[in-house]
Parts: sequence; structure tokens; C-alpha cells
Amino acid sequence: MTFLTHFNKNNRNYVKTSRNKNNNDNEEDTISPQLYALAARLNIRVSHPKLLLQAVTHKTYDNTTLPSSEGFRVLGNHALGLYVTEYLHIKYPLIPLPCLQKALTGYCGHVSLAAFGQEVGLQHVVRWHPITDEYLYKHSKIYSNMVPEDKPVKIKQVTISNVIAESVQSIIGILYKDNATQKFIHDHILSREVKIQDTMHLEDPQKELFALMRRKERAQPIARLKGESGALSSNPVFVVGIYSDIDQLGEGYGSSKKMAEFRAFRDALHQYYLKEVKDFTLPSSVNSPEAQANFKPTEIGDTTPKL
Amino acid sequence: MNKAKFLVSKPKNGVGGFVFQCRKIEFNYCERSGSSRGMIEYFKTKLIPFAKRNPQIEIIVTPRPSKHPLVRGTYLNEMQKDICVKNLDPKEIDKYVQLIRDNTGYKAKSRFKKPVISTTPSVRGIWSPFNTRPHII
Repeated sequence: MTFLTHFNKNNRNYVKTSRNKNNNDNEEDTISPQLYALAARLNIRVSHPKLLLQAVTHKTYDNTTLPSSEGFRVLGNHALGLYVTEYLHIKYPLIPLPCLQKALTGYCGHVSLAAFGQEVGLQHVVRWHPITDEYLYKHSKIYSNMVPEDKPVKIKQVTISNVIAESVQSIIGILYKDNATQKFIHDHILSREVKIQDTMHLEDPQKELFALMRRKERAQPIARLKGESGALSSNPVFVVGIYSDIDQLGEGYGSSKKMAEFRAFRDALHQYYLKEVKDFTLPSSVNSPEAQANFKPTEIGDTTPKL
Repeated sequence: MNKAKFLVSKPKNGVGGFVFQCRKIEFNYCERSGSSRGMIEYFKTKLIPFAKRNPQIEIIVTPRPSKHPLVRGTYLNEMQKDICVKNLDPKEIDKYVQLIRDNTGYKAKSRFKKPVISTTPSVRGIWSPFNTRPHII
């Protein structure tokens, strides 16, 4: 966020942009060799080559006659959310809602998309313009009549990471027409690693496990020492298991019995809530009549709203 | 345990789709010098088919007068690898261009000490036949 002070409206450094010219063929809207290379690198095949240029042009970029990519960005953002949520929801049927939301941010958040874009070479291809006083003056219709002259204006500065993340969303949006979004998302975004255990941050796993067992009407969990090594030495190892009757719910190691017990309770919660389903068919993969006939919907578990 | 406000995903190139690591190859040559003769022959015969086979690489040809011919590859992690191809014929230049194309930006030396790069490294080290003592009766 930058606090921009009121600037003098009499300072007219108005530059004629290409929008004021009357030619349709703008030389600035040529597809650079970097863009061709990017399309080949990511296996993007679009019907019209200028679509990709449009996707990669940020809304702050003036010097273009192409239409805005905002529509594609919103479409891409929602499509990304759909495919990732579908995947996570089916893969982890019992994941609690806040964990699911964190995992979702991990895959589709701006930071992750920006990281992906940087690794793929998008920073050499995006067209954007940082927000400066002159830029704002040029686009003064945004706030000219709304803000009184004495108050400073809060405007969110546009950074390259933001631009890259938004252009990834736009690229997903333009692929949607050719029905290539699912493949792109599964190849490049869902193949990335998000440790699902990191979404669940527990201060007191023991309390949570006791509550879970009560809810499931099962025996109260008991921690038992399964094994130990070097108890009186400088590097002891204790292995603790959590049991509900005869079933082991979780296991943990530690250099103290307390730590081993903590890890065991945490492991028990991971084993239950973050259980992974290995074999599943995504509903969005069902795209032919035969597949539809053979499709067996995966059972989705009862996700808890809170943990 | 990652206690950050939000999680960031880590890349796993090849697990889903494969992203080619070499993004740009720049060829420098001299019009007059003798060491660039092979390079100029390479441009005439082999460069364009190579460029067609590799649409994901941006190829730049720039004259660099009074200098030896150079092939410079730039990778997605912004590292560069240069190979001087002075006095070589097109076949040998092709081999070096192929080498630059196949490489990633990482230093080759570090891959000998750490041949496997993984987010889940093995706890006791990867098995090697040189550190075993087979059981003998």
C-alpha cells in the first residue's frame, strides 16, 4: 500500500497514448519470441495467438489495443478454484474445512501462482506498468470526483509478483474455451507439493483427539510406551502409541516421553482427518458417454466445519 | 511444522507436466574471422531445423565482431552456460548446442555429491554398492 499525496492537477504532462491514435494495427501488440517460447514450454495451444498476448497483458498496461484480460482472469481464478477444490475434497474426504481452505490457498493463492510463474519464465513476458503519480493522473477518472483534495489516497501498488499471479489466472481463463484447463491445472499446479500436514496446526492435539473419540463414541484414547532406547543417555528415543481399546490410532517418537506423546496425538489426528484416498475418479474427468456410464462417484466424507 | 500465515506450493517438475529448463540460446559469431567459419556453416545448415524441433527455446543470432564464436544458454533459474566453439565444424557445434539444450541451470559439479534432489530425502542415505559388505559364511 502506498500513500500518495494529492498532486497538482495543473501539472499537465499528458502524453498521447495509442488509444488516441486512429490506427487499428498497433505495432506494440506484436507477439514476442519469448511468448512463443512460453506457449511451447507450457503446451498452450490457443485458437487465436493474440489471446495469449491478451492474457499476459496486465490491466495497468496502456499501450495496447487488445481488450482487457480481466474477464479471463476472473474465469480462470474460479476454474482454478473449482478443479483444485474438487481434487482436494475427493482425495481427503475427512479434511476439516479450515485445513481445506489453507490447502486451497497453498495451491491457488497469489504467492504460489507467482512462484510458479517465475519458475516458468513469465516475468520476461508479462506487460504491465507500475502505478505512479503520472499514471494515476492519466487515469484520473478513477477517483477525481470522489476523493477530497486534502486527504491522501491509499492505492495498492502493483508488483511483478501480483502481475505474474494474475496472468497465470488469465492463461487458465483463455484455456477454458478449448477445454484444456483441467490438463493444465493438473500438470502444472496440482503436481506441485503442498504438505497437507502443515495445514493442520494444533496447539493441543490431546484435547482434540479426546473430543473426536467422544464424538465417535469410542473408547477413551490411552498413551502407551511402545519402546525406548537410550533412556538415560544424551540422545534418548521414546516411541509412544495412542490406543483406543485395542486399535492403535497414532504413533510418535521423541527424545522425551512428553514429546513422543505429543507427536503421537498429532499423528492420530493426522491419520484420521488427513486420510488420503488413492484411487479416485474426478467428476470433471468424466467427459464421454462411456465414462459417464461407468462412473462410480467417490464417497465424500463428512467434513467438519471447525477442528 | 509450517506456521506461516499461508502455505506456498513447491515445484515438482516432471510429476505432472514437464517444463523445459533451457529458455534461450544465443549464438555469437564474427563475419570475417576464421574461427567462426564452422559456426556460419552451422547457421546455414543445422540451426533452423534445430529451432523448429525446439519451439520452447528462444534463439538469438548476433554478430560479435573480432571475437571467437560463442554459444550461450540461459535457463529458467537465470543461470547461463557458455561454450566457445572456435574452429569447430558444424557437427561438433551441433553436439555442444545439444549439450546446452539438454542441461538445466544448476552446476554439474554439485550433482556428483548430491545425485538425488528430493523434498523427502532418505534418512540414512541412498544405498550404494560401494558401502556394503556382503554376508560371507
